[in-house]
Amino acid sequence: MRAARQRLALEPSPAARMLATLVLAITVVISLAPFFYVVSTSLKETKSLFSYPPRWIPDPVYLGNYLALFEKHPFGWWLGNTLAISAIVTGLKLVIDGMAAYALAKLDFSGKHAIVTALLISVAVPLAALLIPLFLITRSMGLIDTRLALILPPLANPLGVFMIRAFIAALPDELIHSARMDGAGEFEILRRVVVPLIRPGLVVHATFIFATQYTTFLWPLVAVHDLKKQVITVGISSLRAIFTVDWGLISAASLVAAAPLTIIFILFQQAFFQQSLAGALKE
Amino acid sequence: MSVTNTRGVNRRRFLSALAGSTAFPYLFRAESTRAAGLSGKITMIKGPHSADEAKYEAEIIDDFKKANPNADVDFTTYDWANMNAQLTAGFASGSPPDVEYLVDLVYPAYAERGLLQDMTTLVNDPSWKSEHDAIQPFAWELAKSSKGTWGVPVLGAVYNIFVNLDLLNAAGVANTWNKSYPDLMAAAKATTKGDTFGFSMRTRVSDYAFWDWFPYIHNAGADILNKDWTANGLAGAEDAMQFLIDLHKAGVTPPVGSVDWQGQFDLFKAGKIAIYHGETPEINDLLTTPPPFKWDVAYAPPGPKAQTVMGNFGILSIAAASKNKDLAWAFIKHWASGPEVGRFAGEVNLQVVRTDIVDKLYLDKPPMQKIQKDFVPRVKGVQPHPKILTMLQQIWPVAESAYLGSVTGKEAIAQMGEIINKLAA
Amino acid sequence: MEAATSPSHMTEEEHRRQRFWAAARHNLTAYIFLAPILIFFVVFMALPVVWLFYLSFQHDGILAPAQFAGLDNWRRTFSDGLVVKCIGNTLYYCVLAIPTVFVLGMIVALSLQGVRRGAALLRILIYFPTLQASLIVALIWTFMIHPDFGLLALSIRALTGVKVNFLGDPHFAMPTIAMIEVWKGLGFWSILFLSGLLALPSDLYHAAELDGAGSIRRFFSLTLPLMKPTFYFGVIFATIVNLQLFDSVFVLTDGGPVNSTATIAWYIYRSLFTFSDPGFGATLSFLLVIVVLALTALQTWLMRERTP
Repeated sequence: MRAARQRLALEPSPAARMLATLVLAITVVISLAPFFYVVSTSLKETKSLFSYPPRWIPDPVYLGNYLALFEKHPFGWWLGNTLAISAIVTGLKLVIDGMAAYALAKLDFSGKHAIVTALLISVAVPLAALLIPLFLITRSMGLIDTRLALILPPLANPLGVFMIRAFIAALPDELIHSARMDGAGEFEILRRVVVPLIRPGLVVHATFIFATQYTTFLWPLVAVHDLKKQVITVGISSLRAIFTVDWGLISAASLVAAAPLTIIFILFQQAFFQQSLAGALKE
Repeated sequence: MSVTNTRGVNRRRFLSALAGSTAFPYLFRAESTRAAGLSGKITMIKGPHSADEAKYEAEIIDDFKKANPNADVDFTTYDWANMNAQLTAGFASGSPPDVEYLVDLVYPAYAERGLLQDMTTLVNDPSWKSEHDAIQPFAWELAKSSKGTWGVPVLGAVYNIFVNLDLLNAAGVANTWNKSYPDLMAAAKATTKGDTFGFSMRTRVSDYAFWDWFPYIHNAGADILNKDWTANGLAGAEDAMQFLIDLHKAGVTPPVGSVDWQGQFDLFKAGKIAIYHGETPEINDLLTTPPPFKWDVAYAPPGPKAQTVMGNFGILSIAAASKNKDLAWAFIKHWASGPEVGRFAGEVNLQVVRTDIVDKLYLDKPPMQKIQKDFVPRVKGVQPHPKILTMLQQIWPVAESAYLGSVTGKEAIAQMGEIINKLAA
Repeated sequence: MEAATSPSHMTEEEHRRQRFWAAARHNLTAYIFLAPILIFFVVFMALPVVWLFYLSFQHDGILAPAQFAGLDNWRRTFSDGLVVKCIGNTLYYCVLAIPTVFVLGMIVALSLQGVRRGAALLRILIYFPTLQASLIVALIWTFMIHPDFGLLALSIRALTGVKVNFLGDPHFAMPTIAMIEVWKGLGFWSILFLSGLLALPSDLYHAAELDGAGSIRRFFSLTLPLMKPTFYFGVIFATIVNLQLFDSVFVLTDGGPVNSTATIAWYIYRSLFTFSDPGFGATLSFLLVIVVLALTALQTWLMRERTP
């Protein structure tokens, strides 16, 4: 505890501390207040987004929206699919990106420059543009309307490679050299030496991938048509019938959909920040 | 009838039975719902018209299966907001759904690319004539182009006006507001006070605002294209456009674009808009949760040439790549038949294009009846040109800037005309 | 990587061969590491991109057989006024959103840095908006800016008396979307900058304090320069992502009003699905790639370190 105190020992002045508290209070209010209305709408038996005059507190409190999600719609399927697919993609991505990042950061080999350039260029390509060719390729592999179609293409995005590469590049070369001297193979070095040191970076990366997969919309929309195999974003979008949008239902759906992601984020960020502080304590 | 020996009788009976069974398909080829033997599985895709869409479709499919126990229909929906993406993906896959419900704005582009089956021979089959003729001619016009008939029209939504009778009565304009455009303007001004507005129509491109704009254009005798689909620069629509601009500049509407279509409906329900451009399915909402005022449905005042109503309609088409077109056709005929389409329309509060069931529909919903009987015959719909959606979406920003007061009616129509001419070329 | 010593008992020939195989083995190891990403990359990214390039020289090719179009699509791209507007809108949005979220993110990160109790909870609460999908963000903000009782609309009216037409006025629409995206991204950037701040070496700060440097001075002379790598990565990442703005536009404005929120990615989507003009959409995609690459290169060059 003392050491942690030491780390943050540059005590901010009372004025600075008050300012920080004010800033944080405002930020939390701004970040959360808008959700209040979503919560309120989800507990009302209403299809309208607005009522005149606005009733802020739902009275009576109506749970039918939440029930309808699971009774009238395959909401459970959507949640399950999304969680499973996001988890699988995250796990695979960590391995794939980690390996590639290590090679790019610490290994010398011919063709390195070309590969880096190619990967870098592709980061700039928007997903919206790739939809149709991707669809046709996926179809020719017979994967349309399968969950594999939602798992495999996202593995190709090289953005994460660069993120992890930056973390690995920051590690001193001597660390790697001495491990090699000790006779370790590259895989072992990656596993035993590099990964433990860049764990915070990996956690950040994992959180980012998971969140991105969880909220991805366009590709599942085009690739999967069976509602039972669909993910949560497209599922919620399909709740919008044409003429009267059921805002109560959609509000409830959005909140329930946000819950797992929030929980996972909480778990991840605990690990990440603990690592950060621990790392700083080493000094 | 001479009695032959048993063998002869048997043979004759056998032969006639044989003849009958071969004649059977010829007699009932187009009426295969009566044959107990249609088999196979088809898929159908449609946009949802209610939250219970699947349930209502299941009713139709179950009835179909009663007549065709070996057939099955797999029903899916597309998302209205992403309809084009999903349909395009479906067509691009090479195995699209066999039966597709397509709206008039969208099907022409697919028809032009040969993705839909030309149904001219099917719909003109003499054995289906009575059914064919039960569907109004204007609906068939919407389903045709010079190159073929692309589907069977089944449903539509009329874009009617809703009026708050209490507000109109209080301002003394209840009887005059829709007699002419100046009367409409006067009524709108008379009913605008405080936070209440006299008039509203859609303005945002994301709300497909052109539906509310069309009647005024059609009432001036103008249209996007000529009858032969050549371009005419929207000639004749300048005054109508100017009128709409004037309405929006007169302060009788919510600030342009500040509220979307849903928001406008909410405002109307709260009694804050006197004359509101809406869609018939909203009647369902008004009947289930009655607002605290008396309301009615109406259509726009007459223009110099006509007094029309706008509507948008859907057709049931067969994919050109379908592998079971016979079953698809049988199912479409079933779907479009009086009892089925009538029940469905009643469940989702849409208009039908058949004339024979109109008297039995909406007996408990006077406004819907009024629309079905008085409004639908006045409908002048879109021209199903392959680029119609593109044209409408590309000209709409001009309308937005016009409503905001940046251009006059004449300039707006000129700009729109240019865009249309380029696209139609 | 050279061997430390060269054994004297090997001939020149054997020596060269040994180095060759060592290098080959080395390359092989590297490629094994790269194999997974490269396979997926080629199949699901490179191939579609090549296909797209091919499509840019065709009419259609997706719903109907491709017809060779030569440079038609490219010519159209350069003569289409909406393309210019899209590029302008997209850049305008980046200029609005990126500096704003960086400044606000840093302010929040600095405030979070000194927090001792409840830091975890605060981080979660602040990150909550970032986790939401576009549809729910759109839903939330449709409420917030509603002229009659949106929280934000009412607050502005209370403070300034002005009734802002957020999404209806072509001058305000893009700034409104920028505001929404900043709100959504604030959590991410705050946490990112916070992790950068936490990694800064404290001894430098101690030394500076002993030297009598006040906190403001420490911030400008120490913190900002030390955070440069984080900022550099951030700017490039933010630029790449924000140049592809699509979701909010698609859900909230569909490019309007008067095309003031039309972005490049939006126009690409339109061309592919609504205007059914894949050749044009493909060409636009390449234009976007070029714009992103150009900006990234420019930024990298501007931010290049003097010392390697």
